[in-house]
Amino acid sequence: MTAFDKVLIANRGEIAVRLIRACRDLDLLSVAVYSDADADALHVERADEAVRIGPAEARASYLDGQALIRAAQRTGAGAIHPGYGFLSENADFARACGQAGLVFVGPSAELIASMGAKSRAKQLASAAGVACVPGYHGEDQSDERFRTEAQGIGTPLLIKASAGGGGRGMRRVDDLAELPGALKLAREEARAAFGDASLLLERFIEAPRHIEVQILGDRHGQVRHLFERDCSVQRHYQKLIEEAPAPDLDPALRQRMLDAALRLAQAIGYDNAGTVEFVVDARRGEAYFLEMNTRLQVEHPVTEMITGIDLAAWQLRIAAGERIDFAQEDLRCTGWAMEARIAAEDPAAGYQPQTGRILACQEPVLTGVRVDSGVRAGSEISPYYDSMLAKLIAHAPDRAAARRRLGRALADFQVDGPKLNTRFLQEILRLPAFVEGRHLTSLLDETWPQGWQPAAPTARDRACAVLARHLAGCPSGPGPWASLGAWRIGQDSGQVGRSWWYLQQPDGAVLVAQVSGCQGRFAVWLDGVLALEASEARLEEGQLHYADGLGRHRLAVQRRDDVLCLSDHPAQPCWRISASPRAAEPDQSGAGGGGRLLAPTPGQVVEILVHEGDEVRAGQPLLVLEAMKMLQQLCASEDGVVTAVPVSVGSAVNSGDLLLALSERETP
Amino acid sequence: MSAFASRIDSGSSAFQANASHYSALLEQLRERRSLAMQGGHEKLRARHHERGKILARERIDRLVDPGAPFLELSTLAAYGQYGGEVHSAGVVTGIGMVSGTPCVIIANDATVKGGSYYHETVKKHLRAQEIAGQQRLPCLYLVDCGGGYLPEQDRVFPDRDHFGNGFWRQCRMSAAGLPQISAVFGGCTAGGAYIPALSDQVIMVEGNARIHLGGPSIVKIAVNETVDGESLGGAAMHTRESGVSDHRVGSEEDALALLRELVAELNLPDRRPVLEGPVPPPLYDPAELGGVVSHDRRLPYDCREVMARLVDGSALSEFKPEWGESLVCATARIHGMPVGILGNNGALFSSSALKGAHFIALCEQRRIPLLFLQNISGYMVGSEAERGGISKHSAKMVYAVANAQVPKLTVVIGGSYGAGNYGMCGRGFRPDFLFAWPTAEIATMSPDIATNVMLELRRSNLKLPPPTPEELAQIEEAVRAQYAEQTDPYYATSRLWDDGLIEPAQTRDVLGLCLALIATVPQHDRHTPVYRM
Repeated sequence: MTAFDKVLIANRGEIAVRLIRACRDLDLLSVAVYSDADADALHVERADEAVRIGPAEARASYLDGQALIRAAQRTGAGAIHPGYGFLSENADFARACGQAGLVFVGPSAELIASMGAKSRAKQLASAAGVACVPGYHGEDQSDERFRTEAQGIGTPLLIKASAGGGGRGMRRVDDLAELPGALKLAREEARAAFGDASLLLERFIEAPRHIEVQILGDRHGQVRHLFERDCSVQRHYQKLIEEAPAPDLDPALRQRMLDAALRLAQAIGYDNAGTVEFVVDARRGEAYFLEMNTRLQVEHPVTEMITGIDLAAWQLRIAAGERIDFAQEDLRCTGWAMEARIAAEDPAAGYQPQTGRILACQEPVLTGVRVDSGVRAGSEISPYYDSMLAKLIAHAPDRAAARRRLGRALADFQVDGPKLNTRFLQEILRLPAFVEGRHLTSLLDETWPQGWQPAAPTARDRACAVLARHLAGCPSGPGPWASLGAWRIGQDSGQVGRSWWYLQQPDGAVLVAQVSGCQGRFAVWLDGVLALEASEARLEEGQLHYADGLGRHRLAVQRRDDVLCLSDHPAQPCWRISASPRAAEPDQSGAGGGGRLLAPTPGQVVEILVHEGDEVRAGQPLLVLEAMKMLQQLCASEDGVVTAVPVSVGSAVNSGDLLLALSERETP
Repeated sequence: MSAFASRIDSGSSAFQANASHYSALLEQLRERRSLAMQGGHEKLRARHHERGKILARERIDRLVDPGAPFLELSTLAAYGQYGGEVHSAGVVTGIGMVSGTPCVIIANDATVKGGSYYHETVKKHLRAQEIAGQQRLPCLYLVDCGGGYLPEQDRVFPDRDHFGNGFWRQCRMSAAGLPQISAVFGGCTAGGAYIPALSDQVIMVEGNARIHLGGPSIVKIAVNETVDGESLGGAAMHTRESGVSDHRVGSEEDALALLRELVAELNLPDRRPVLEGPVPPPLYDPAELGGVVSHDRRLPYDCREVMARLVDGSALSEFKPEWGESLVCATARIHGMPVGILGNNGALFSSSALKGAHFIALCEQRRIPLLFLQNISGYMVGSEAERGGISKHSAKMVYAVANAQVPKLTVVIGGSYGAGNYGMCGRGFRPDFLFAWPTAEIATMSPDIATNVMLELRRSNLKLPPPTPEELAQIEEAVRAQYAEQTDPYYATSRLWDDGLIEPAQTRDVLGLCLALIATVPQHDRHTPVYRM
């Protein structure tokens, strides 16, 4: 087996930082790679060496296998660790590494390929005696055949369009008597939607949970499982909170899953770290094979915490030819681990990615809490890559303690910069179904059918923001002109000084706020209504402290010039609070304002829906922007005529760049 | 410098008697001030608001930096005159921090007689400008006035220190590098038009602001032209056509915001004082001052007790504590800034006068601003005093005060009589700021002495028959009535003999604000010898 003492980490962000740490623990040298957007990233700083591999776009950098291999060769790295995502499950890349004489840290290209092809993976699983979701995918499309197959599958079942996706052409059947009618309708829909009437049948999983089994195999034929993880808290099929072990799981079913995963891994001769994913029907108590991931998972730390096994280090050791030195019986599941994924996204706005610079970053320092982060103060969150910035992993003796600890860690994770999903995650941790560990993958959709909306800020919240702005904006420096506050000659005669602030609401409306008082005692009025009376008020290290009739309070505030955000508040509201009504007026430079469509975030133009000279109506989609893997449709704010389109498809734009110019339609 | 050890017992009956007497005076002051600061009659204020206009002091609240002081001057100007209706003389003046720059603000109150200029209005306007010139502060005019009050035109227009002087000052200050900026909120006719016209920069509020030398009615009479006010002198015309105005804004709030922006661009030197370390408050509560000051003027009290309640940490460094003891001279700090304080503990003798002159020279050499705490019956009289040369020795102190180049602050806390008024830097000696407590009494001499003098004059008048006891009683009554009226601090402040009545407990902060301005006035080098007296 090939020995190596330098490893190129073909990834970025928190996983690159994590893998560099694994290299360091094994006394291996690490080589980071970076795109232009990541030149100052944390992983670049942490590695022993760093190589630029291309421009910001992932396809020309982190997805450019040849560039990565060249970088490894140039730096004398003997191995490439792909991390997760990017090229981690790309069989061609694994093969190319081997051909270039580099060790690919992962299973063989053949294994990657066979597990990557979903139907082949299912065949292999079935062959190994691992159950897949019962269904019929055959070519015989006769009603007769469907009826026979449906009897075998049982109800409820789903009829799906073979060519389909996204729910179109999908019908649920609870009673087989309904089958012929449902098939007829489904065929029509499938033909209309996809031009192909082919259908398939699948058992409908009424109470689905996502549970996966961690596998570790070596190149000497040994395979171990490292217990399971529950990853049922998902949004749009993206995991948010993971834990190990799985809560509320029948021990017999759990053992069947562990055995099945081990059997499959053994059957295919799996080596390195991998994950066998199951969908568990909580109602029937059945687990069905979904797929196998031939790489390290994002959520691997929860397994590491409960087993004490360093998966990333073992990946490297196995790739170097080492034998797994522990027996299956030696592995114990100790305590409970729970992980939350912190992402720069706004869960209240369709998980819209957030970009910008992290001005300050405070990570939790708590016993039993691990922070795997790819950012620090000064990091720029660019629109080019995944929005996940960091993971918090809490380990405790039992689930309840782990859950509380994770909640505390989320509360302590303070970032001054782009909006994060931490408040949303905190709220999930408090959902009764989650607290009891009986949640399904439908948890978020069922809890928030219209999407999560944080509690709306109250007048008091606004008043606190105004007070914080006032305290931050008060004159500073030596002398009574700074220290006396809004002093007035008549203040003991009832003629108090009032400071005026103009608070711009999200809808553009401006609230007029007045603050009176000095030396810690203040009253805040909003549009003439008394909203807060505070004493002992002070602003210290991003915290507003004040006392009122109920007691003492403390809340986190972030300020950038006139913009003030309450970062502890679930909605993390931000307001422009200015001493000038002119500054508080609706921002004319924003998207759609003043006949100019400006890029709301940095990103890439992927589609332009209008041409110069087109007449457009208010609300009409004009252009599609891709930022952080999300498509954003930008619409006209008013009727008009397109007068200029200075960008083209593929243009990379910065926030505030002009995308389209509109003129007012000439009135007939 | 060590902390003064107070001998005041706040539980004593004397203290309680003083305190309750003073609290009645404060109640009266607050009541009168509150009424004055409300501006015009409720109905007029309501109409003002209906026109989209903001009250003068509310304009100032929006103009000055959030959380920053506004040192308003002479809130009780014109108090008790003109039927008691011309509150604050119809103009709000003071010093406020705007975009980090201290500025003199002169704001007409259109709810008070249309903001027109009475004699006291002119005087108050000019005094604010004088302060701006002395302290090198920009002037911001919030203009909303109807010009001179015509029935009083002889007391408003013609003299040296009348209306015209304000324009002269505007021109001179602009030339001296002190920006003059106007925001026009209402009509500016005739003389009023020159406030913006002579400003460096002008903002006009659409709809309400008007600038014209003659309004529509005068135009009709003079040139038989029929024209509406907006076309004649509105914001749009002046900003787009005549160029009299530089900026047109849609609302008063926008005008004030723009004014803040203009001030932010003035490129003036930083006026924040340089201070060492944190500023300790007085050890003794300034709120006790009412109990310290005797309610009966004939009962003496130690003026160090007053000083100890004004200065940082109550720390006083006394000069010549064992010589000329009726004048207490001490250096101390107020809000971190050094100050040389002179306070009266009785009539001034030759030694006290010489001590005062010496102390003033010391402060002059060291550039320590002077603070006079006036409670003075006068210089000592009598043959012993005269033989000791009280006239020439007191003259030395007066001379020293008159010629001292360091800034001077005066607070009239009690009597301010005769030459004592001069030696203790009365209004005639041009202190940078002069404030009075509600216990102040300013006059040539005390009512008792004045009565005696007048009675003696009558008795010695040979052209008249000898006075009857009734006549003498009448004379005494008339003199006492005159003095009672004219030594009332409200009579004084109404006529702008001071820069405003202040509460004893406010004094430290007011002085601190003034000292911070004074301390940062650009000074030219000038050294003086110390004459040992």
